Amino acid sequence: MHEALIPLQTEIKTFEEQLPTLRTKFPIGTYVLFMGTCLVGGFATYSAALEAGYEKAGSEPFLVKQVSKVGEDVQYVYGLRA
Amino acid sequence: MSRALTFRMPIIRVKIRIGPVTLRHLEEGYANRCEPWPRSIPKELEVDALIDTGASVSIIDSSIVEEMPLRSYGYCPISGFDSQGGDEGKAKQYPNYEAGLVLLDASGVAPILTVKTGQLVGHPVGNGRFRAILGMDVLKHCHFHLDGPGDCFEITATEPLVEEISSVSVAGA
Repeated sequence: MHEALIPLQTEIKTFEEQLPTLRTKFPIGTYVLFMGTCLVGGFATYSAALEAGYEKAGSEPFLVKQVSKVGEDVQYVYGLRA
Repeated sequence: MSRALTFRMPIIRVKIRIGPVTLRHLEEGYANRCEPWPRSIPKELEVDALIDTGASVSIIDSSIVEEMPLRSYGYCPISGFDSQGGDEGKAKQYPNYEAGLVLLDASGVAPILTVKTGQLVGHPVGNGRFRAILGMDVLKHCHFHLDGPGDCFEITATEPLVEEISSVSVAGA
């Protein structure tokens, strides 16, 4: 795991486990906010989700991630070095 | 206005900015400590970027993340021919950062598109020719015309200002 993501590993694991359920709860494109294993909520914009993250978590880690369509979990960038 | 390809690549000048939410919280932090914003920390950087229709998301070089105080709030699983490989072709997770973008015109002065904020992936892409890759999340808001025989290209924006770019396919976003 990339070192910048280490503080978010709980949130990432939780998001990935819950993604199928999140797709039924929220419209595609919704920004969901996680703190630890807790889903704080869904937001229409990235900025709104970040603001809510700062309000709830302050300087503690929080994850904001968009709910994607099935099959769009992975992005493609050809030639990106691992 | 058409622009010449650079070494056969469509490269344009862009400004990378600290995202507005991150910036406001950083500024509030300095203000609360009664400290001025450090001169050594840029709020924006101007770099060359490759227009890449083969990238579904945009990337900024890790050195930009290090120079500016960008914060990661999430990640992006990415697969490409170099990041597949050993682990059964599984995508790798890359951090993304809240950052804004300004695409500049051929003179490198006037903005053609301002993106207030987006989730830009941070990863080493710097190679002496460009330090960022503009993927389809940004190009969704542009018209891009490549004139291969003429060694030139043209890029215009459908609107001058986009509040946010989306990392996933959402109608109208």
